[in-house]
Amino acid sequence: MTDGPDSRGSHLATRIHAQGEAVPDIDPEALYDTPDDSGDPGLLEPPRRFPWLATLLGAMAVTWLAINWLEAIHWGHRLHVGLGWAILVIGGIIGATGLTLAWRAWQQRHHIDAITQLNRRLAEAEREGEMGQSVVQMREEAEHLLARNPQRGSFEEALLGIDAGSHATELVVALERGYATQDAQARALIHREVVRTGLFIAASPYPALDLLLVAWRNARMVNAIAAIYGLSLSFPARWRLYRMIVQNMAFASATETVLDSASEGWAANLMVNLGARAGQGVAVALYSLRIGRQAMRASRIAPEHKPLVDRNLAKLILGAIRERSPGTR
Amino acid sequence: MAQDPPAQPASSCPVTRVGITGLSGAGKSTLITAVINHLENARRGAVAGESGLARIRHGRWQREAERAFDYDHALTALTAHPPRWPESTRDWSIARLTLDYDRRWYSLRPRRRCLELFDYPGEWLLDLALLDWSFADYTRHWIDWLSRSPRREIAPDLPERLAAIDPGAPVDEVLMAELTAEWSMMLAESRLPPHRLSRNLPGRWLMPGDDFDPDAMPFLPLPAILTTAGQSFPDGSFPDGSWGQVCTSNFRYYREKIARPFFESHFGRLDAQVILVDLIGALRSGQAALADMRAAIESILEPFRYRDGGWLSGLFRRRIKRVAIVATQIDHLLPADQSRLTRLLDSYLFELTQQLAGKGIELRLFAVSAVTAAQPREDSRGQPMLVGTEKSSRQKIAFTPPSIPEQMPHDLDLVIDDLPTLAPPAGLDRARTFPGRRVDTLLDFLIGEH
Repeated sequence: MTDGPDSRGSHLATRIHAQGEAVPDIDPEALYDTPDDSGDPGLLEPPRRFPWLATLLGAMAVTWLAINWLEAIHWGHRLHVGLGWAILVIGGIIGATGLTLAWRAWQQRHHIDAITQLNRRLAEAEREGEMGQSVVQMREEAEHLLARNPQRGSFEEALLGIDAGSHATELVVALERGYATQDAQARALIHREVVRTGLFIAASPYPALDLLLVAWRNARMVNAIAAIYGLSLSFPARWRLYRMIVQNMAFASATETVLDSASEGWAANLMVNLGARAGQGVAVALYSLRIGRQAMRASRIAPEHKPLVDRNLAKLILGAIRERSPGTR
Repeated sequence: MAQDPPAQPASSCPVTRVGITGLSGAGKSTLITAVINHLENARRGAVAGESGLARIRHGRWQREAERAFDYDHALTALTAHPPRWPESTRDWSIARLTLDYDRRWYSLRPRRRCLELFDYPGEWLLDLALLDWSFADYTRHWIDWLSRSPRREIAPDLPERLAAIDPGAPVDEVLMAELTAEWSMMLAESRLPPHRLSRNLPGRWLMPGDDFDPDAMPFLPLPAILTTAGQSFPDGSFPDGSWGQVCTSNFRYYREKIARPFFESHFGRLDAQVILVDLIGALRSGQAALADMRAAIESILEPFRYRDGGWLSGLFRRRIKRVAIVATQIDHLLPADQSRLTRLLDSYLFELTQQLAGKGIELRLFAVSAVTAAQPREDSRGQPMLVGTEKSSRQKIAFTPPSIPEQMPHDLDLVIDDLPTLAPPAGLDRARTFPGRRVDTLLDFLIGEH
């Protein structure tokens, strides 16, 4: 049995603890449960299914509208030829506009999905130490997705040096550089909004309305964060983004657990010091903080290298609520 | 054993062909077995974790295909009491699978795709280097290799004995047979622990396959052809029946009739290539094994590096777009170190991957465990350790492997001492996905639909 030092020079030593019957039995089932060392699972993607119900209802609505439109054309034509033509043209314009809007809405939703997929792909590529042509493909895809980003110039500059000789990590670092301004803006926005939400709850005399108002404020915050990252949100895109945020919050990663545990002590102290209403304000603020962080993650192509919303921001927000809360003793 | 009904002929569905090779001991047969096992268990969610494979509904191995990979044999070995690793690849074979995918939303029928995993000894791939060499090049390389450690110690007398041969003298059949046997011994010893060297040319000397008998047409490097003695025979015009003439013509025959047709008939059809690397094994042996293996991998991947024209570049670049270099047996390391092995592999092959970058080939490095043999546990002090069954003694062993660095030292001076080689675990079942690591990730890279 050797239990010597771990290494000598370039020699890495294996420590043999025991051999033969002294070794505990191997549990074949445990081999299936080998812990995954890949760390953060990355951005989770809600399942995508073909929207049968929405398609069916949509097709029925379109058919009903089309029948009514044709009837209106027929009715108008009987009254006056010009009226029939006018209804035809107006209906055509409305239909074309509707189709264009639907197409754009679908594209915006697709854009959200494409960002998530590239985010996951980059996280995996980093884990696997990928390089070569696949990194070039990911750079091209990132450039395509960032074409309408307000910071497009910074990204172009940051991605200039990424070629087939670069590692996936270099691509992620370049994207992080491009996102620096937008990250700072989003962090400031989250700080501002979360403090306001917390104070609002702490001071609210109508607890029944709290839930709705908090939901509205958080939805507004998510939209503003998406706008900072240059995302236009149609209804399906927005719905998709909300689902993604909720799913990622439900399966909180290690980073988020750290964030929560960092705030836990503060929140407990505040509950004692500030009373129930202020404590509720703090709890809601922390919840909004998590929503803000997930909105940032879902809006960015680059995977989260270091926590986008760190401990310090959580502490700052809690401190601000404590200072400004009307119930402070 | 019950026979499956005849499968749909491969020609009726689009075929993806993946070549899987690796130098001896890298674990080709085990990996192919694990891949088939994963795809067979697709309907139980074995590959559902990878987005590119999530649509595979069912995979089925075709037993009745010609020169089929002996999956039955591999399964018998892995599920035996006690279990053992499948035997090494000694000849080429093809594992054929039909994959049924979920139907598209607009279609009423499921899609079908065929997958062919082409298995052949990695030693044969080393013969790629021979295709560009003359007999003089072959001799020159071997003189160089034999003059360096550890081959110098493996066969100390062989260079002198070969150098003493006059290429113009009539061949001595007895001496030829004696030297050929010694040559084979040297190659076999180089390949085995503790040396674990990789460049053991010609590849079919150790792994002849069905179509070649190395004793029938032997050839040995003749150092004298590079010296003044050889200069007296311009253009290799040695007298008939001389050492020079016999060795040169046998070398040419091997190059043109054995090695070249194999690559021409198989490589032009491959869509992706997997090269298995026994990095852990080479780390057990140290600097010389690491250097030799890297040189072997470089020679294997040489054709991909040709930018313009050339017979080899045309053959390889016609279809192969994805190359995966895979380090195996990561289960011999602690879970925290397993992902570090990919970075170590990247650092080890950095120059090669840099050269390949930008050649239109998607090259990725993986660290996988086809069948996990070690169970992570904690020792009495709460420190992580691994428990498994030692391969040679068949005794249980508890050990803590060292933490490996992320960077390979530039001089390759890195050795892992006393790392045991484990036997497969008991209780493997074909009807359940074998415990493994990242086999699905590798499959996703090779055949995933993105």
